Amino acid sequence: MKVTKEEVAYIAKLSNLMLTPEQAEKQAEEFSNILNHFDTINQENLTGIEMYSFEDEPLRLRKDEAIPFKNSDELYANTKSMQETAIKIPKVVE
Amino acid sequence: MAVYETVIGLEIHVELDTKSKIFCSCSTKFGAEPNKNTCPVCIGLPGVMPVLNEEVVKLAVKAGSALNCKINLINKTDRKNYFYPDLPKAYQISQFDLPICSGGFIDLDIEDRARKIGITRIHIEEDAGKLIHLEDSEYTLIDYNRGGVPLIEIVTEPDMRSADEAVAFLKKLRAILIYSGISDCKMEQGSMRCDVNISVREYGSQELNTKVEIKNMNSLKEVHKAILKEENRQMQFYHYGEGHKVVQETRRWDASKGRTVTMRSKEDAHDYRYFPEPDLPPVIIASETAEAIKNTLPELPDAKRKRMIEKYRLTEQEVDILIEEKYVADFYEETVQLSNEPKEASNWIITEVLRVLKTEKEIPLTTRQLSDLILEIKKGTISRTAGKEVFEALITSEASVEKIIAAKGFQQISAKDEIEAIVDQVLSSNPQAIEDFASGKTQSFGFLMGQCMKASKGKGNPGVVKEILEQKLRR
Ligand SMILES: [Zn+2]
Repeated sequence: MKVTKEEVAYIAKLSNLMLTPEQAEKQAEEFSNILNHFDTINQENLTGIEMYSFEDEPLRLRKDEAIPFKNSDELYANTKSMQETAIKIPKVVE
Repeated sequence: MAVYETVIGLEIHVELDTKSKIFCSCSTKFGAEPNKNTCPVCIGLPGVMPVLNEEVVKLAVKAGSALNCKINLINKTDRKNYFYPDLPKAYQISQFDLPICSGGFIDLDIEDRARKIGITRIHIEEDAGKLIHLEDSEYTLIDYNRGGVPLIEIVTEPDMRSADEAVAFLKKLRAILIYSGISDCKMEQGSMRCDVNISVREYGSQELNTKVEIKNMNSLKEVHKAILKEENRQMQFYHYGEGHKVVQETRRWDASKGRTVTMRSKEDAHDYRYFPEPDLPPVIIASETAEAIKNTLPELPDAKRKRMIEKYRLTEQEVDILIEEKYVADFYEETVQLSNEPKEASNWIITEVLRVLKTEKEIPLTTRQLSDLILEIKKGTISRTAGKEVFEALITSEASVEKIIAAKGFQQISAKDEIEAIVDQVLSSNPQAIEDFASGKTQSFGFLMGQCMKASKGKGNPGVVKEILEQKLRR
């Protein structure tokens, strides 16, 4: 599957990434290779194979208990600007 | 002239009633100091791993069962990618192609017309944080306490045809979710929010026209108003042959201006680039587990309605009022259990308790107090009129009904000898009235009755007074 430079530019825009034309070209090629690899995997014959069998590793879920995080002082140590305990950022309006 | 019909589908976000968040152990309690309920997982620090809360699976399966859905025993989580400061990881863990439940319905009864509203799917996801936009400030504040609070999103089929139907659906959905203990559905606190998809087409057409999405409605009243306004806006375009002016877009309801305004149009609509969440295994539920969860469902509103009509011999209208809020229905049934007076309990709750609830948040008296009040009136200790005054006193007091009646001196005189004495006294001072009665002027009975009540300072039990007065006059 061939990925175009335009498609890379679109994904880059959605991902807030800046790519030079050279980088975009390189990405397009790498994406194509990755997708081709999936095509190869897709050719594997999977008939008769249970897709979602995890019998040896049962689903691990968490008990519903509220446990406050201990080190909360450090949690926002790197935050540039706070007002009391709220994070302060330049105004965003949708 | 063409006749138009409105086509409405809803997407409802409901916060699940859990103690901790969906992927970490932070508390979900509403109203904490900003960012107090956060940890490296829910603010998306690098290297953290989410672990799914078992209660979320349980409540989502419960919701699916209550809404007649198929439970997908194999489902999985996906990342929904977008950039916004309320989402610290820049992706929301949600479900895309394999949601936990699909294909359910709710039965509605609108003006005696049965309507079945389809539910497309229910999926689990994490809530985003909250942005606080201060007026006259160049800053926005972020509070991540809500980030990671578990949600289910319920998506309906485009099966509703009017604002009334949409609101009826939301009311019923809300009742079912509250009854089953899935969510408190407090719209004013944002634990139930609703997006409305709405389009308009010529009546009889099977096609779906361009739809407009109205985001984040948080009151039933506003949902109703917004739908009326938006359907009218679209109909105007179609009516004047300008249907192309209805564009697929997201609009916001401006409650203060009473109209919808464009938020974003399709051109810059988000492409979320969903992909499977690699940090979480697929959610695999044993069919016995799903069955066991389904069996924990309590009596749902429809079943309760039917049972209450039969058991208590109330009218449909009365029961509909009583069951609209679960806590009112529970209060009713407890009062009946204590008093064995289903009709009286219904009357008191519908006329007095619900009146008080218009301004109060909680029922301001106990079932014991109300049932005692009902019984005292029945016994004739106090009159019905005095009963209303006792009720008012109970609202602000924890005292027993007996104490309030005593304190207010409301006891009716029902003792026959006491009343006989009063009647005798009245009769001896009104010989003319007795003569009038004897000569057939029946209205003098009313006069004498009034005199007796007056002489008892209003405390005479009217039934007993009437009985004794009649006996004496007929002699
Ligand atoms: Zn957390």
